[in-house]
Amino acid sequence: MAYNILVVDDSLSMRAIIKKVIAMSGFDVGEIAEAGNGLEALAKLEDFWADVVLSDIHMPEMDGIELLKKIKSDPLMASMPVVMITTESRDEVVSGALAMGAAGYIKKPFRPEDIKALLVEILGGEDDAVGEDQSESDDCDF
Amino acid sequence: MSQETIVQLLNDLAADVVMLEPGDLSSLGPLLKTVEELEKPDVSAGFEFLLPRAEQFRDAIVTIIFEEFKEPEKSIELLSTSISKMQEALRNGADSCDSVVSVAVEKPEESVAAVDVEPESGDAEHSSDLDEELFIGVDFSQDHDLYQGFIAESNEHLDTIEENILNLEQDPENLEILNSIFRPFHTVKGVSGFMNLSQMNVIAHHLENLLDDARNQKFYLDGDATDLILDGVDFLKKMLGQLNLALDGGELERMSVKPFIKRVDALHQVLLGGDAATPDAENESPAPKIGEILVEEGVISSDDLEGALAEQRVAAAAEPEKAPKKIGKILVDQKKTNVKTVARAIRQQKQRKDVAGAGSGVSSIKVDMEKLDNLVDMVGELVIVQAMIHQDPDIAGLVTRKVTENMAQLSRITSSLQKVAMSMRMVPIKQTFGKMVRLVRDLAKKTEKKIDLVMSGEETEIDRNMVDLIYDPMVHMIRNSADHGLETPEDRRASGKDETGTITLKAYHGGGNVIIEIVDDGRGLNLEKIREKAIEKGLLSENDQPTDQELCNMILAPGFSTADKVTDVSGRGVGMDVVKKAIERLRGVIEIDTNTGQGSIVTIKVPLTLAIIDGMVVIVGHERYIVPTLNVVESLRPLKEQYHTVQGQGELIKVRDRLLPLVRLHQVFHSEAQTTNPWEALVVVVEHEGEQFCLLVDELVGKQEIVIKSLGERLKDLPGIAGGAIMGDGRVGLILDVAGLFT
Repeated sequence: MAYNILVVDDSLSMRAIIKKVIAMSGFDVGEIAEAGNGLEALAKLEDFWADVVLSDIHMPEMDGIELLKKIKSDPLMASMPVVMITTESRDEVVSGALAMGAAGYIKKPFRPEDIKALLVEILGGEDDAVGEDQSESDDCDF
Repeated sequence: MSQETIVQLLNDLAADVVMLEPGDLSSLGPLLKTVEELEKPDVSAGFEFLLPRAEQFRDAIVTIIFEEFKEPEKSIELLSTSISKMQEALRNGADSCDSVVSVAVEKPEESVAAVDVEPESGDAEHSSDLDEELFIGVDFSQDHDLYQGFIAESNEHLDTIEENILNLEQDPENLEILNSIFRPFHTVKGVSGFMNLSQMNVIAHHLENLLDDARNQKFYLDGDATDLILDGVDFLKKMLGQLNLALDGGELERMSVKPFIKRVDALHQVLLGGDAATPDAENESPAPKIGEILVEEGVISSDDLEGALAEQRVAAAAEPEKAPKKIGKILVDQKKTNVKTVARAIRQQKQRKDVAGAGSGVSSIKVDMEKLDNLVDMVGELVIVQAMIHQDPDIAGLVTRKVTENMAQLSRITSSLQKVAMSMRMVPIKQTFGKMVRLVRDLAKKTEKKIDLVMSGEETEIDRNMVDLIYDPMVHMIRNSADHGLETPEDRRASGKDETGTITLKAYHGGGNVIIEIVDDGRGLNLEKIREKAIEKGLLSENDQPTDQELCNMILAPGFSTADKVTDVSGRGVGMDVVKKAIERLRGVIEIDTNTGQGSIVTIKVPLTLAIIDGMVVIVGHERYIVPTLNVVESLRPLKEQYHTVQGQGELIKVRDRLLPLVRLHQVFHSEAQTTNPWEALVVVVEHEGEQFCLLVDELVGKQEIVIKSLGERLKDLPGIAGGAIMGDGRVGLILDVAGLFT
């Protein structure tokens, strides 16, 4: 099953990289949407169902923590897993985010296998080894 | 499993790789299968040392499939090297483990994947090592778009830092400003981490940490810190510049980042130490404190707050080297409140602080410059085609009321479309002005003067393509003002002025032009000295009586400098004429005026856009030429008596009691004129650098807006011609370069 992902980061190139790394990971991705900050993410979520939200923490307008808070306090979205993308500099923020209901966090820079492992862990669904086989041979049969 | 099986598999792989054609993705599938076969535990048992290599090989294939490699030949080469190394490792046997590891380590350098695939680093731990071998070869990571996007975005962000940091000096507690400085480093750090740009990553990381602590109010950034941050910005910009060069195939130079990092860390320590001793500082700040907000909301009592504050002081006293514990954390530890509430209070605190930042409702999207240029070009063409249709005699022949109405409608829409398209490329001059803030600050330091920069009209819009081109001339003139114009504080005091000099930057629109004024209140130009120098250079004779303004503008002549000594900042006597040429290339004008003792004014006038020119269309013989309206003074049909020939000076026309040289366009361009007698034809009086002369033409067609077309590389330096234009009937008209005609 393909999962929809919302990538939230204020840097355009960071979003491009994250999308690329996810693509390289071979994780079965449906649609990937983007947003430049928390406010944009909430607007996007109005008409886009994300199976998981990957969000940076430091962003203008509305930061990742606030976004997490908003999602968790909305009964319709509360079950949506939110993964914080962090840098190693502020561990207390990460623990705060986890306490507020973040599904997990991943440190930048991450490798395709890191993000895949995390997504598999959160979304479940596919057995790691089989999934990799599957996706890679799929990609080659053209 | 036997060695034979593995040898066989490797041979298969090698054969497949040799047969591989660039772009042949379907052959990659079997390759992948073979390498997976090799990786199976029962196959590789006893040959585990091959696994990291195999894994990389597989990663490389996957990368190729995902088009990470845009140079297929190179990637195939890479695969075959990879294979031969595995074969070699196999031949040397398991005891060559070391060599295998070294092979494995060297691979990420020669391969690429924008992502680190070092096999031995099983965890995500990314070392921020300060060692010199940090850049991973960019020449292999062929995802240029990603890199270019990163470079453009980072540069843009870094530019905003320069602006914001000065606001911060005035308002060091403003969290929003701090955030806006923090964020660019955060982004650069994150992205460079992914791209293996470790040096950039390390610098951004350390500065981010410094700013993060400032954000958390552990200390305020002082002048030293802002200097350091600006240096960091320069450092990163330099690296981005090099990265850009490397993308174009240049060498990526390695820069030593260690000394800079040491400076950052040292300052960070000093700042931390300085404020830990005064933990109360936080309470004195005018922004509402977390604790106060919590009390206001009735979450905790003021006694609770007192207790927590006391604990904070005790903790700070006990461990002065540690940053003071956050009041929110203490309250949570004391179970007076919970994390969520504190988080809400923190946000409230932030909201109260950014009241000013709220309310900008304009949303925007980013569009590639090239696309926009294309659009403007196409619209230009559209306008021309529309005019061609309009003037087509066949269409004129079948005019009915309906056709006329529709044609009028079409021309209205095209012309507003053109206006909209042009306006999309217009940007406020604010950004360029913003860079000057930094410049003036640096200049003040270097020249040991006190300088205030006052700006007005930052919202004035100018063509995006023009912005970059006026930057250098502006920098040059501001340097001059700071270095030569403004006096030292002592001199200013002595002449009864305020110690602090002022440079004023003004921008406004006037007559289809953008006018930029650089005004200083310094000593002004020394007209006597300019006069002497001009005579010495042969630009003036002893008897000439030039106006003050004419004298001022002499300093724009090549090699003209009256500075007594060459300074670090300016005064080498080159440059002023370069500035003038640069402005003229933009079809602009630069003028200098001065008031001795009071200061000088530099006025730069450039057209709103480079794509369109306001021109006077004239006819000579069968050809049409366009004279830029900027140069046109008047046009007239001279009387026979106004025409003179003067020995040695050629033909002259007397216009309003001044004798102006006559230039016959048909002679310059070797074409045939309808008439050669000036009193039967027309003359257009044009002006260039204060000099006027007459152009002899057959007819005037009228004034119109002309979309400029380049004549291409080969014809771009024709004297007297600045470009071409497609006229309404589809034929070409040449745009005259008045300066070139006269020399």
